[in-house]
Amino acid sequence: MSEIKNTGDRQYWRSIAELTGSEVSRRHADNEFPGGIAPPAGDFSRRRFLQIMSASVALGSLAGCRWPEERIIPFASRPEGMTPGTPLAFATAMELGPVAQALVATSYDGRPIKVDGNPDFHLSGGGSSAMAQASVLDLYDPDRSRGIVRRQGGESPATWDDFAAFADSRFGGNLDGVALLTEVGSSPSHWEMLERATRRGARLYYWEPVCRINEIRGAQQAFGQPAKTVLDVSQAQVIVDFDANLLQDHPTALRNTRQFVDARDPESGHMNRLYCFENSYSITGGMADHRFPTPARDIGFTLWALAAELVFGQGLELPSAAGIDHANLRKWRNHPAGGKHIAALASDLMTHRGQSLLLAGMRQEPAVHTLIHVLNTALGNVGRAISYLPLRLPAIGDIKELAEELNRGRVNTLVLLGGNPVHDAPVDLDFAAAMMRAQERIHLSTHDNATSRAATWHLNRAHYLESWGDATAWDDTHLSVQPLIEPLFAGKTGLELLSLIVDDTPRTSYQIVRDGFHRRGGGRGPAPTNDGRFEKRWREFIHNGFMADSATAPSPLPLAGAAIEEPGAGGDLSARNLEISFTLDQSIYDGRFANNAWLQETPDFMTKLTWDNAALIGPATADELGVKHGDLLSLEYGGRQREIVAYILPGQAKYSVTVTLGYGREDTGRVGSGAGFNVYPLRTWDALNHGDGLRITNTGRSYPLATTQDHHAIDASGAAETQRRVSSLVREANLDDYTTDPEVIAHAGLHHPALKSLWKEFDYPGYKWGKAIDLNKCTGCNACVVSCQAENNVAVVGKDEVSRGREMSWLRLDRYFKGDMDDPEVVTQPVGCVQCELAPCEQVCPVAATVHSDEGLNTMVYNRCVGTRYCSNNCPYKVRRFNWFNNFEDLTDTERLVLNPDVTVRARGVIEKCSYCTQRIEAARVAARVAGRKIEDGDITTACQQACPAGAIVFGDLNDPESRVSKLREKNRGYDLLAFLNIKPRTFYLAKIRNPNPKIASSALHGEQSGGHGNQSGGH
Amino acid sequence: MKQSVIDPLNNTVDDPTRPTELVLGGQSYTTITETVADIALEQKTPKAWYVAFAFFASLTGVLFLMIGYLIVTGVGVWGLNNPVSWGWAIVNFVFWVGIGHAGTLISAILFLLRQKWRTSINRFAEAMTIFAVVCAGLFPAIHVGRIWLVHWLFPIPNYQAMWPNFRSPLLWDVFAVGTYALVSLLFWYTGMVPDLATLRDRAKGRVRQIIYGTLAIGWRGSHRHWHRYEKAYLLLAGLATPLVLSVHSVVSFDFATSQLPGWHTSIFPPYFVAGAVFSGFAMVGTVLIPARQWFGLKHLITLHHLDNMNKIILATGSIVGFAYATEFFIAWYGGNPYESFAFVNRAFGPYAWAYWTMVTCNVVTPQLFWFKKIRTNIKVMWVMYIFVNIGMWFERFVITVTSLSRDFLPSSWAYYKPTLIDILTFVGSFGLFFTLFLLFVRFLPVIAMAEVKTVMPIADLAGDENRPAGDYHGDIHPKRRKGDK
Repeated sequence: MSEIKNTGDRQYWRSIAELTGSEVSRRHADNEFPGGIAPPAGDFSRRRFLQIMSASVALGSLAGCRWPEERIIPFASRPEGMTPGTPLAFATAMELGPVAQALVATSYDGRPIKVDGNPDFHLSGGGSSAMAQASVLDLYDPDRSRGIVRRQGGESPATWDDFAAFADSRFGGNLDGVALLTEVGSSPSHWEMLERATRRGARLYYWEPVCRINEIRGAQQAFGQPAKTVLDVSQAQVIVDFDANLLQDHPTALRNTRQFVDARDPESGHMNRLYCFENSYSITGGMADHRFPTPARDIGFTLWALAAELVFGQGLELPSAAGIDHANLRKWRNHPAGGKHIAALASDLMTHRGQSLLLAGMRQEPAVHTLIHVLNTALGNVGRAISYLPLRLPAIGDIKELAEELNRGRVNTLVLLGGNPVHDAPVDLDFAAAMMRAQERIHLSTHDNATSRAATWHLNRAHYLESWGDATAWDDTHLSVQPLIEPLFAGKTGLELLSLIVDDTPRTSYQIVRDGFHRRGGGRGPAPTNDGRFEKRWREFIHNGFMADSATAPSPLPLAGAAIEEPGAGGDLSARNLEISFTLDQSIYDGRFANNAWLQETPDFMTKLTWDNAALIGPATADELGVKHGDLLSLEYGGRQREIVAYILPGQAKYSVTVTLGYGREDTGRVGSGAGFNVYPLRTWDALNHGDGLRITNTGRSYPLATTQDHHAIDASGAAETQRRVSSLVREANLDDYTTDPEVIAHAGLHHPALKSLWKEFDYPGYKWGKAIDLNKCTGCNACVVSCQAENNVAVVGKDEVSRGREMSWLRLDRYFKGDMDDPEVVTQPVGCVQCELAPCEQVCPVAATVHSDEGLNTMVYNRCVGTRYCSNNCPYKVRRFNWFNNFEDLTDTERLVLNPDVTVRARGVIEKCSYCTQRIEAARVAARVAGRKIEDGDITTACQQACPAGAIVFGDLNDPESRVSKLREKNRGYDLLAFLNIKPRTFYLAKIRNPNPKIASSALHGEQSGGHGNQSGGH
Repeated sequence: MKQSVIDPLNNTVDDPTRPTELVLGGQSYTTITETVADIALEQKTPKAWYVAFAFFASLTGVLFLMIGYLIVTGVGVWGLNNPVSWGWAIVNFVFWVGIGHAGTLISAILFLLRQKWRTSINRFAEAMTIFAVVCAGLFPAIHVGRIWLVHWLFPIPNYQAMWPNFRSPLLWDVFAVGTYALVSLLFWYTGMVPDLATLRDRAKGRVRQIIYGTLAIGWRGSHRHWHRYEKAYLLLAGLATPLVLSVHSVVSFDFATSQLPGWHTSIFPPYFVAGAVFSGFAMVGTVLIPARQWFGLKHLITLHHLDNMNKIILATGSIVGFAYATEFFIAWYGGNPYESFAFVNRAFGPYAWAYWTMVTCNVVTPQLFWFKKIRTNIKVMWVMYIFVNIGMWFERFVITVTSLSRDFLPSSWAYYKPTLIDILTFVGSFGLFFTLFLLFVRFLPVIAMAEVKTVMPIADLAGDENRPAGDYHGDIHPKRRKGDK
């Protein structure tokens, strides 16, 4: 295959002679699908795709919708259960570090185009994250590795057969001197294979750039055994989040979100209360009733101060095995890190003993977690909001130990299962050099990256949508991973590579997973091929995507009583001794999604930054440092120095500078190369998460940032006007005010004369579509934004265009800060086309390209649009997007495969906008007509609604008094955005209700800081 | 002349007892014919003309290069963004349409109002109108996303069997500007027929004779011809007069009928018309002054003409200034916080520089025309015309861009910057304008000879007090015309 030179972006086969011009290609041609597809040079051709597609559909349809056997037959006659042009959904799961998400992938004629949460699985409830949504695009990443590369002396292409032969001779049952470096996954089959390897003499190591090991170690200290923390947020009335980002970074963030917002029903008069201590604004901080900007280092101090306040101020009794010396603890009382409100917080916790939850994040030291466990135990929360799952850790070393072993020359063969440690390992380990000490270095990876180039074998890895596998959810539920398509580029899974190394007869991952399933069901040996009952269970497992009731019941763990290490006081943070804080990026994680265009262009929840990361600095700190937004800074930390652009972020803790990981990799690919700044070279083993001693100098140069909001600096009068408007645009009230006066939300808008129409308006006798967005539930997690992008073929335009204000997103999240810029409140508001009944866009279009349907949809007729953009000018929400260029021109043939065939790909020069997922409405209409009934509530789920883990978006028929959206419409929290224009938007919002602690809210200081949000709700 | 005049070409001294002389220098019919016709027929083309033509023709080339690039690539080559979907293209459109107002105003309204002094400048002004409308019409056509479908804006049969949307002000624009362009062209051409016949008769080369002859559509100067001609001219003047007011009113509807704060204002129609006349006169002056200098037309386009024009600029400029003030007053008095912010933002927001440029050029500058010294100083007034041109361009920029860049939801706010393509396209449109103008002054009768002759003292019917001098309308004595020939 590689004989065909990749001469450019688009290369197609011109003749079969060209295709079969090489020995390798000829072999593939003889054997049409030799355990995968040999990729043609350059881009993946359409024709080739159709072959694979028909093959995989036929494969899948051999017995219903699954892949019971790995046999491929030509798609000569249409199998039962398969209608061309009708999407099919398959359950699968995606692993992100140790966290697996149960998903349902939608396949269109054999190609996966959309991924959503598995609605039947209790930890997702159908919701999903932005990363899961975007993961389908990674499948079609044009920069994915196309094959195997042998790098010995030179660089030569190879095949899996070559590697199998090599593995056979190299390993042959004895794995002494072999080190396996794995990512931290949750797959039981994976761990079983690794353990088999250790039994044959291999040593195991792990590396995960962002890792949850601190949590596990914290539990180990507290309970004497490693354990996972399992949450039931619905049981907590008071939640204190210490840098945990409960609603996004926690393994069960999707369920946490759902439970958290469900317990905040203002109409019931009762809401939980969330306190948040963190250095950078997270979505959890955005949802918090009280957020305290705290440097990551000081979280430990704060927690100790809280413990002291609880014990000495509130009389909380610590369990006897708490491991805390009271005399030591007393010192922490009134520690400045606790802040002014620690007593109010402690008292709130005491009042809600057994109904509260304290949680620390993975970036905090193990000792912080230990104290958290002790306090949760003392407060009686264990077994309610928080419980523990004991965990069996395999004998595994970390990457530091691996580097040491390598440097001692004790590793002759290094097998790297995924990851890119040459790029992202702690810089002081100098992993790139250490790795070269191994004689053979085998790297399995989806991309031929820096680690692959340092390896002697680069092996092409299959994407999870091409793979068989299994995974474990956070509560130990067993999940299945099934492929939706044959590996596009002949990649193999980690399981298959391990099988080549440890199995006498290599198995496919399908067999491995099936055998493992058989064993966990109590069977022995390989899975039977003709056992009907087993087959039924197996198919059910694959079909559902998870094994019902396979979760482990949490067990009460007694405190072990080991003394808890107190946080060591470092030097005071100051402008010359700043804290550097490394976090995973909310778009591209640790960099693994850096070549994903959807995620690169997804604006960060708080910064609204796309295509870049930045050093987040608080306004006061920036003033002190003399740093302006967009200045290029030189960060000097631990004797190393990197340049990165400054982003002045309101609410960033003083003297704490946050940088997100994963950007700035030079070899990312055609999407991600050149985006952002690589901060891995500042990250050392001792300060993987945060550390102090950072010094910043301003280089005096500036760097352009592409944000989707505040595209340009806002002057004073603009900022003041924004502050004036926010309270009527994104309405909110405090629970007390709302309970006293339920009409408080209606009064928060602009006061205007009665709205009258000059003519009789259409009265929509049939369906009347409408959408409710509950701002009290929306966390701003971006899942809806990416879901919309995937569903509606929303184009990616790149950094330059975003910085010009030309992003194409149909749904955006508006974010506004309120109050003091160093400790602001934040509100977020999803805005898409609100489908005005008296749409201003329709009246001004000279060619009638945007017209109203009799169900109230403001429809956009792309083929009629000539692109005057008048509609966009007249749209008060500015939700219309114009195709300034041909945005699909540069898509490679593989990338085109992800497009949803139900949605028109828009041409250059036309306007587009949210359609309320009109294709889904039509699909539901067809189904309802076939069934001979009306469309019922719940038949239609818009893409944004489907993705939302909080259930903040509800779509339905406003003419049906029983529909959920009609019921929401009646709530007194409901309001129309810009109602005074009398344009009658169909999308309405439900106001946000905060539940501040009265003791804190009434304190003069906070009242001043927050701009008195209690007063704002009284209208103006 | 009764008044003691030091400068024989200064006829701006008012003497209420006598009508002001509009043609100076003791001209006769013959000299007028020769002066004007020789520009097109006899004079050797000045070198300066070639230089200017080469320069502006190149600029026109730049314009079409830019348009070609735009069509091939997409509207994204301009600096537009999401809130600011209309930028320089629309600003330029309104600017050029505005300029196109003076011509028809001078030809039609001043004609109906018996303003005799219009005769020597109306040909210029009308030509300018046509060329400005050509430039103006270009922009809305090229600013759409799919230029190849722009004909869908017209109510012509098409395979989609669809009418355009008659509710859209853009469609009204199509009709308003289209009608205006058509009527202006007819008016200009009709008025030129007798003069074209003069050129035909005096032309030497065969080619010229054929071309001018064709254009003169058989004009022989018969009574019947004159009769028909004057009826037609009067009718066209009547037809054009409401158009002068309607075009820019309709253009202003693009803004006024939308709901954007800063656009949604009922003052726009009169304010736009006043502004258009203001800018149109300034542009006429801008091209007139060099032309009268270079082609020796100071006797025909006298200081008195310029003085009158300056008075109109003063009047309309004051209306414009008053309109600015009214807008602010209503923004405050109306109590709509979105509207008040739109105006505060204009004056003090990120585009304050543009706003104050506009105010300086449009409000402050014309007030200097209260002084006669300034009104009659050629150099000073030319500089002031340039200021007014700049100011009026900025007025459209301020209205279009500042309102869009900060509308209802602060999340969408953005700053708009033009790209090089924007700038070159605009500059190129001047190239087109002046190229057409240079062709006009070279090949067509730049002054309405027949009309000017009627305002000369010798055309006056002596002793008839009911016939003020120069009121030629329906009143040309055959005897005098004989002398003309």
